[in-house]
Amino acid sequence: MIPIMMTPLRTLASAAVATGLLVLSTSAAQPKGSAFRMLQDDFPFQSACIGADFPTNNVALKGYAIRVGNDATVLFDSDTLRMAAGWTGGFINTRGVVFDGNHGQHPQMVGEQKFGVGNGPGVGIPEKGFTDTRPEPFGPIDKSVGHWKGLYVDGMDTILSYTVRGTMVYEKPGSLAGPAGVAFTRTFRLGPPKQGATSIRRHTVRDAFTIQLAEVPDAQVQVGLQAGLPALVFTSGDWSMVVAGTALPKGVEIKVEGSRAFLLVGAGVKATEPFKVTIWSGPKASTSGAIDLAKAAPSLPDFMKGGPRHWPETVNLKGRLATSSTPDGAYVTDSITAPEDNPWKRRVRFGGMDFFADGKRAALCTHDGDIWIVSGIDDSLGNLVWSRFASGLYEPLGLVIVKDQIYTSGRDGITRFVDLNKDGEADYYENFNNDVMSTRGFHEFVFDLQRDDAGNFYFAKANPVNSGGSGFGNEKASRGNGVVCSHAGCLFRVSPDGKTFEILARGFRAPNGIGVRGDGQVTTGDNEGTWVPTSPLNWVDGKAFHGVINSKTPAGVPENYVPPILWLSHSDFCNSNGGQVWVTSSKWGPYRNELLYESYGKSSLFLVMRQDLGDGRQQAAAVRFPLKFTSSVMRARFHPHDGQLYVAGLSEWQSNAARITGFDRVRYTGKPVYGVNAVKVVSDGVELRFSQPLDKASAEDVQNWSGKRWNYIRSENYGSPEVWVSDAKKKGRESLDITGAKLGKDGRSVILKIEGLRPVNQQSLKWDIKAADGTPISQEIQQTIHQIPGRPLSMN
Amino acid sequence: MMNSRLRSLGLLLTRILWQGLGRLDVLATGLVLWGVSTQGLGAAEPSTGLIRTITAGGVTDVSVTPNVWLFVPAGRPATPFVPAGPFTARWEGAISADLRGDFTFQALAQGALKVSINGALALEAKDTGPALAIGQAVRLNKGTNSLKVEFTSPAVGESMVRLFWTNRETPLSTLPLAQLSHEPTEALRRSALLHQGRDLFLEFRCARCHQTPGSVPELSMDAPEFNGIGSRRQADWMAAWIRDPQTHRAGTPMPAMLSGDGAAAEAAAMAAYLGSLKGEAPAAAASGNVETGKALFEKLHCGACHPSPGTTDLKPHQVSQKEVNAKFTPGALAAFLQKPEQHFRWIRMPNFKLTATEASDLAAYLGSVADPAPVVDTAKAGPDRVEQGRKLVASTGCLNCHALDGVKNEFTAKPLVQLAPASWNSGCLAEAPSAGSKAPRYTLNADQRAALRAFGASDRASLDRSTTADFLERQSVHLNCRECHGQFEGFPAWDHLVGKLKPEWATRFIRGEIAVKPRSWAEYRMPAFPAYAQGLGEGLSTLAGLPPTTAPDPAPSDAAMLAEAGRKLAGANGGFGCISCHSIGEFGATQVFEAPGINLATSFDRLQPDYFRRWLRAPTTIDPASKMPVYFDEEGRSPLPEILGGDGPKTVQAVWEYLRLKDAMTKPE
Repeated sequence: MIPIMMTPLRTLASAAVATGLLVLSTSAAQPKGSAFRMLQDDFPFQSACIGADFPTNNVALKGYAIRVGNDATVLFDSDTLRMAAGWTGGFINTRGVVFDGNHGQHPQMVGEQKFGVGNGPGVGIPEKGFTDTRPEPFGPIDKSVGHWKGLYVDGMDTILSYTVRGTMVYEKPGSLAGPAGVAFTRTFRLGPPKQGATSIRRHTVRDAFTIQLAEVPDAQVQVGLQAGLPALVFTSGDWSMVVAGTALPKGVEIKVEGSRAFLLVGAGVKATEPFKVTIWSGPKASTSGAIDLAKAAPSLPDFMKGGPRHWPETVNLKGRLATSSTPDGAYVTDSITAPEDNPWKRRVRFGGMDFFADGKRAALCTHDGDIWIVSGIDDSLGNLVWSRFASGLYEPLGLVIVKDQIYTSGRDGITRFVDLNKDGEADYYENFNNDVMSTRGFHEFVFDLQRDDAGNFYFAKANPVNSGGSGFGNEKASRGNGVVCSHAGCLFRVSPDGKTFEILARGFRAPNGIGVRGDGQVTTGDNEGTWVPTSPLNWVDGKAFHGVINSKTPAGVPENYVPPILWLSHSDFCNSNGGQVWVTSSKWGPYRNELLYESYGKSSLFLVMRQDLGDGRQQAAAVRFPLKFTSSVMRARFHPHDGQLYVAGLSEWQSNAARITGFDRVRYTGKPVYGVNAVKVVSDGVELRFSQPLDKASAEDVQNWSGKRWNYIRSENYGSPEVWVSDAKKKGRESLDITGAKLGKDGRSVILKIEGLRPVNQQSLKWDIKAADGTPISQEIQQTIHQIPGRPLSMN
Repeated sequence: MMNSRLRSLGLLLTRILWQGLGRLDVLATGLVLWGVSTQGLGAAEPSTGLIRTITAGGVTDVSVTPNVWLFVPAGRPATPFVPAGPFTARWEGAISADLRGDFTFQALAQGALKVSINGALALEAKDTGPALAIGQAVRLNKGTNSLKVEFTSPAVGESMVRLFWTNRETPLSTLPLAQLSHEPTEALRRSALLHQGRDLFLEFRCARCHQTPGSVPELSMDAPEFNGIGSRRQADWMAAWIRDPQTHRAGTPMPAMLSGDGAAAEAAAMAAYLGSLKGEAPAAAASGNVETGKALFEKLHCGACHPSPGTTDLKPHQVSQKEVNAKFTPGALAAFLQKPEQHFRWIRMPNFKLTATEASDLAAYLGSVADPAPVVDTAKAGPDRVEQGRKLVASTGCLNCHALDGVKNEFTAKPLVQLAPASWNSGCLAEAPSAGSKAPRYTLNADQRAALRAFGASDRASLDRSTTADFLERQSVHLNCRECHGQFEGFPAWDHLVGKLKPEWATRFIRGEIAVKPRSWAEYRMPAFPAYAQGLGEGLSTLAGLPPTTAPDPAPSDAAMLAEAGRKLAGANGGFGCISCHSIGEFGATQVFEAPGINLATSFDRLQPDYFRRWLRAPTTIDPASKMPVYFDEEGRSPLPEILGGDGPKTVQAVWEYLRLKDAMTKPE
């Protein structure tokens, strides 16, 4: 028997699913007329930075708004293990970047708040109170005191799991309704899971600990038994609050100190059964009714066996082949149609993607908080079946699959998903690593999730950009702009077991995408803005600082600024970056071991052509694959079997992306590739190598070559104008004086002689030539020249 | 071959007429200035724009023009320097290309047009109506290619030319200004001198004394009125100003009217009289906040026309504010800032619609950084001195420019018609006026005098001919439009404004009649130039070859269907997501970030339909720095095949039909 508390809401949702009709009531907080269901009433929680009405500034930075039935909601903060608030009459509103798009706010509770616990740790050591010992008021609390393990979803129930001083705590938030109104319940079970993790073992508490229940300032309190239950009754005028325990094991007490009500779990407590705390507030006259509600025996569902499916339906679609092609026909795009139109009216904006080992299936997370699985990835794409796997996540923008287990990166860290009953939906959302700090800043996106061959995980975090786009962490301007924390604008590495978290590099603004080579070599992009003059391609070597200074940048670090290996102009090559991917496939044409750069803003894929400068530095050039994508180009991976490149993307900020999301395959057709594949700066010009022999006459006619150059100004200003190399006060690009074009002996290389060649942030070269067989080759590259080989370093 | 002086002059004129480096005072020192500004440009930099030669009724006018654009209303002259009636026009110069490539020229023309590239015919068109004439592809070499355009107007009716080009990479666009150049010619130099002379004649208000009939708007340009001036200006400062205006503001058109030993006393008497002319006293000066005023000075970019306080470096187009304490009576500066045109209709200082608080803050700041007011001679001038001043004001010529009720102007000068060309080197134009001369002292330099003489030697019929394109080109320089537009981040660049705005809207906007601020997020605000508004607003169209009133643009029969498709296109759910950055009427943009956009409910009234089409198709072709994404592919197809089949022009038209609904636009998804 599984004692699930059936709420009217759940009954409605289940009935609707059973009849195949999804007639879901619209939350009061849903914006009118929106085509999307940003908040779900058929799923128990939504994670986000969420505010409650009291105590003052009560914000759960890694909050879970959890539906507990009876139109009541509780708010749990996984950083502080704090049940921050409970309210009746609603859920949360849709303020925020992934909901209604608001820049500078986050969701706030909707309804009437019944209890609250202010910012700070929600669990503690009895003799030490609930003091916040964190160096900054962000990120998880001291793990030896409390550590977030994750949550179980069982139907419309959510079971939180965390340790407090070594004791494993499972907690199901719930509610009870009666004539006194709605009471909130916190049902606890202590003890480690049994082998195989389907039930809980007997447990004896070694170190005593406390759990905060409510903050009740300015009220009289009565401590003692109420109708046989240990309880606190707070009163103030006509208002009262009841905090009552049910089936408390010996040694577990409900205590009050000052304005805090808390649970004390003493050392030596033997826990074998669930126990419960009921929290109620309302009119004083209803106090006894509330105590009646608390009498119900505590129970927990058998959550470790996995719950029923929330989304048994699938979305079945056909893909489209050869939706675009490079002019030489060597590469085409195939579209894996996204489930934009789905029965749940969920908005689909892919932010991460990876393949299962069978290669037939891929998992994709959406910025909107879902994980989708698509099957039917084959040559024809004729039978794509989309199903939902998980939901309620805090802005996941990275996904990786390890041994067929899905990991996502989000604002709250890395989550690992466990499907306990193998029914195709996640039952356990496990905290793999939550060390990353998160403030209220709407722009503190956590970007991408990649792994190296050793199994280390990598992801990046943006700075809390202000709502206008410039500067960082202006809390004064708007509460939702966040504050600069030590993790703002950093790149992180997490060990394969999830236990070690380290800052690998600093100085990023909004690096929406990284690249990791098997050996652990990391690259990043970044988005134009404060300290980022235009889109860079950074080569991370651990010691370097990548340019963005904020108030938490450690002293001495900015001196280690290393410019990127390549800049890309925001006006025509890349105004906003995606990730990078190394060509690990030998089935994808001639580019094995090369680096590809994804442009989110221009929905474009670029080949990066690197030149080693011999002293550990590099400079590079980029050329576009002239393909059309369904949406932006943001996350790319090579398929484990077919060896083709798959690209997922979304459209949310400035992008020319046609659709709000897309999932495409870039397929090599086997036809010969016509184009540049290597660029090298030489002493008096640039050498370009092509993939095919060239027509000598057209290659050596300087009329067929042109170029420009310009610099950027790296500053605190938002982005940079393009300025003359010879005079930074003049805006624009200067033409290059190309005085000669000479075909090399290999028949494939052209050396352009450029008068006055010099180091420059950006040089573009454009040509309209012919291959030896007459095929036209019309391309443009942008490159960065740090150094001209053979010239002294002082030139730059 | 071109001699260097000629070349420099041509370059200078190009800059003055189009890029706007200068004004009167720049004209005064132009050649010297040019000598300086060539440094760093490299010898090869060509002069931008094309040479345009217009011939009508046997008279030829040569000028530098930004592009192959022309609009001449029926019965009007093509330029002020040729008579109305049938005419021919010829554009000559070079067009440059990045890379050798094949281009197609297209045109709208009322009249007969012929375009040649490197001597080969590229396009012939005649009376196209609204349908573009399309030429055959022509090959352009990398670098410069000779461009020649010949046009013959219709015998009657309006004439117009708008030339476009396109190639594989470039969607249909007007010829890029930066890629048009010319080599100045002797004919251009001669003509430019005449143009400059006419401009000086108008700006110096010569016809205020040397009266002449004429219809050019600037003939009615006024000067600060004298009624009540004693309540607004300090008498001591007026005395100093009257005595020698140039020492207080180099380049002012106000001449020194007094000379000789008695000049100082006479100036003092005139000032005493003017100081006695009390009018409505300015409201008691609210004590403004200096810091707020300083922030406002920066926010409003006052520094574009006024030197930043503390800098001694006064650019030729700038007006110093260091004398404000001496010049304005208490409270008068704030009142002036709030409505500069109140007592001087054609003042160049625009109206920033400052609130009373802003005006007093700004006045407080300016006062705090200006020179302290000199100790005022508190001894009141006796009635005799005031009376002497009154007589001098009436007899010295002040009242030819400055209005004053109730005092008879006793000054006369020869009407213009009596000033034979030979006399244009004496009097006001004497190189060094003789000691006893009563002629006003201007500080014209030799080039300016030469220009005025060239104008004097002409038939002067240009005073009775005006075009709004000419008005725009000259007044946009005098009003320093380009000191903000194209200089500061976030301002629409001047080059992009020509041909962009509907003349009706532009006129009302420049007049200060549009309450909605298009760039609502900008800290700066567009000030009003009421007297100039119509000429500028219409000129922004006519200079671009568009009529001075927006051409009819009737809604197509399927407008409702298109508008609904446009609404879908504006949405983020299956559309372009315009609503992410652009507000639409009362519906706020959903994701304004880094690049806020203009409220789309204003767009239909603001934008020329042709501009809108080219903008939506390829915004970065018009403005490379725009954050607006390019949605259409190289062939102009929409990436959204489910809307209107992805047909590019239809998709663009659908958004336009949606915009046509203006305030009735409903919210997109």
